[in-house]
Amino acid sequence: MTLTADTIPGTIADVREQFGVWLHENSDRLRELCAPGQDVAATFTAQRELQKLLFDSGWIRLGWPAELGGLGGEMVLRAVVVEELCSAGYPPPFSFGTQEVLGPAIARYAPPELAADLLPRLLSGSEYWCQGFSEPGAGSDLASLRCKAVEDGDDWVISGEKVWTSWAQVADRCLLLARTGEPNSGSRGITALMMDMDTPGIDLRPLVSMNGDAEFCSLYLDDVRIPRSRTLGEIGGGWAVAMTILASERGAAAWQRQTWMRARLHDLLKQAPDLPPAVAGEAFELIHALRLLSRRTVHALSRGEDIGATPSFDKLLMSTAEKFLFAAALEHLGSATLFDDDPTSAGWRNDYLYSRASSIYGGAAEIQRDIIAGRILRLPGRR
Amino acid sequence: MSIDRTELDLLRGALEDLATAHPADLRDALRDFGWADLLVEDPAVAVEVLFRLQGERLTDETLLDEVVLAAIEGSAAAAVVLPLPGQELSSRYDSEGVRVDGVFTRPVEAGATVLVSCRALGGTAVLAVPVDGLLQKAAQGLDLGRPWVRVRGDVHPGAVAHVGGDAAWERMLAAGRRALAAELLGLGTRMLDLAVEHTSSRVQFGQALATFQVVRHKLADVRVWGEVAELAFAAAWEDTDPLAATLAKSAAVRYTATAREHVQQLLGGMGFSWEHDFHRYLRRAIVLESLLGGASALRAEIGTSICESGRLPDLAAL
Repeated sequence: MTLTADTIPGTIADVREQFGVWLHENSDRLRELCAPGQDVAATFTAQRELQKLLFDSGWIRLGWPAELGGLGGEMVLRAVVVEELCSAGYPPPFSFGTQEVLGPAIARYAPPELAADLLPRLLSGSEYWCQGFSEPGAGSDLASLRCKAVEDGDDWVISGEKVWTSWAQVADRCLLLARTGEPNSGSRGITALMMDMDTPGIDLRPLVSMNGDAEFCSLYLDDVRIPRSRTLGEIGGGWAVAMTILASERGAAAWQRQTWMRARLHDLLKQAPDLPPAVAGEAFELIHALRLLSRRTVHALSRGEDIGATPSFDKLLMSTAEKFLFAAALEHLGSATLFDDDPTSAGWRNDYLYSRASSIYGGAAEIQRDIIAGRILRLPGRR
Repeated sequence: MSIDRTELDLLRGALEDLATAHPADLRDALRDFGWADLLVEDPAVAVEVLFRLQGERLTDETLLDEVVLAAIEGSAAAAVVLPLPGQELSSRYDSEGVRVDGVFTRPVEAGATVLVSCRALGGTAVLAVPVDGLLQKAAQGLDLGRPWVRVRGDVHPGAVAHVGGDAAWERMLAAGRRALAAELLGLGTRMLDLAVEHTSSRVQFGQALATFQVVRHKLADVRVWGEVAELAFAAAWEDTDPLAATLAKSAAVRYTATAREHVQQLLGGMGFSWEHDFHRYLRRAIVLESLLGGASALRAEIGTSICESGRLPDLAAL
């Protein structure tokens, strides 16, 4: 079954039902693609295949406009697809997260012909993208970033350094934030650019994170030329692009995270018979809290409403729930998680270690609390 | 019936006026106002507006009994024996009769019939018993203002009428938990307001307290759990699964427990003084948090339910 613009399911219930049938029909292929990968390259190849399968059949084209490779309809329909995929036992691939995090910003800020050219490549799995935000001196204080873009003819010429760029080594493009204003221009002097990763002048070094993955990379940019036509939004308007991306990450991508945490809690119930009920209950309560928050955000984004500072709630609950869940797993699964190297034990270990970063990446928990204090509680600031 | 925002604001205003005019006989005033009809027509609105107000105003009276009784049909009882905090069911029923041990929200008049939920052979029994013969003892205890009563005594099997079993108690419990969640929301919001006002106006080291990051982060944490509790309360009306009500109470308890802790710390010595209102909120919150399941009991209950079924309930669907 392949969806077309004329046959897309109209309601959430229709998507759930029809996608359920599709999942059943394609279960052999899905199991193959979702089997744990041996290495990063194999994992990404499988994920691209999965992305392509879901794109070709139409499911993840739901909620994107036709001119950008989509089938139309509301964005929330796509959220159902991810949820059903996950509850059927197929964890959402990174590319799903990337599509939700970067896709809306491209749709909104890229020049129309650029968006029409690029976005279908991301959605169909033919490309993988990364985001060049953090720098060695600009993490939580993102607006102090120094990576410089200088105009030269029809190009921007970029020099500087980026760090914690997830999976840059397999990425085809990078959504880059660079300083186009004066050095002290803060959030007003930043411009968002789309950089091809095969451009000369990019030196990339993977950093191994504590879970053993070489996920994060350092990017050294030495006179890298990006055509001016690759500017996203206004020159000096990169902060708005970054905020759209962070809102998507804290919002729609959190919905995916929540479906995955539910699946992992389900695994834990099966694998840890001695899990105290109060711990299982608290894990469920926290994941449910994230679900309630991100459900609201997904619906608001789907309707095109301004979500203000509320995704900061989502982001805080995402890390709170994730850290609680995997700390509980580590404590109650027994010694295998500490000493054994079978894939299941290694998987729990990996998820625990990775969960430690959840209150740091994408805007640290302290930043979220600052946002809530300032923008929601409206507490007075420093004089 | 579906109520729009304007009507909701009007209702809220009307109930606030009523609470101001009738601090000592709110229940009678609400009866004349027709709140019982509203509870039938639109329980979500009736419970939300009234119980949030009860929390914000620290009302002496509560309509918790009315809400719990409305969850089952055809009961003419005047009040409910609430189980003692810390126990799922503190009254017992066997061939020798009922041993009542629990709490009333107020003294119950002689001659009345009350409902009591009991541990019984094969599960829970909800029974109607005469209040006469039960010992009622004023039990102000920790809370100030609300006339709690400890109720104890034995009822002869011949005087007991069977009202329902597990299913009836499950509905009563869910209704009570939703109401308590709304009241806790009111209490939490008022406590947070007290701390925001205090830290925004009080200057130390030449700065308003609220400008210090450690203060801001504590208040943000309270606010986060408030947001979660609001959403969990709203979601408790969309699913018929009683687990949704359990989750609403649990979220509300986390909110007020966090608020009690952080707000008191941020109020400094003021929050420890008798004349500041804070301790009244703290006292009421602790008592309401513990009724019909405290934090650990609720979490254990949620956990037992998902562990036994081996699956996660699909609450709060998109």
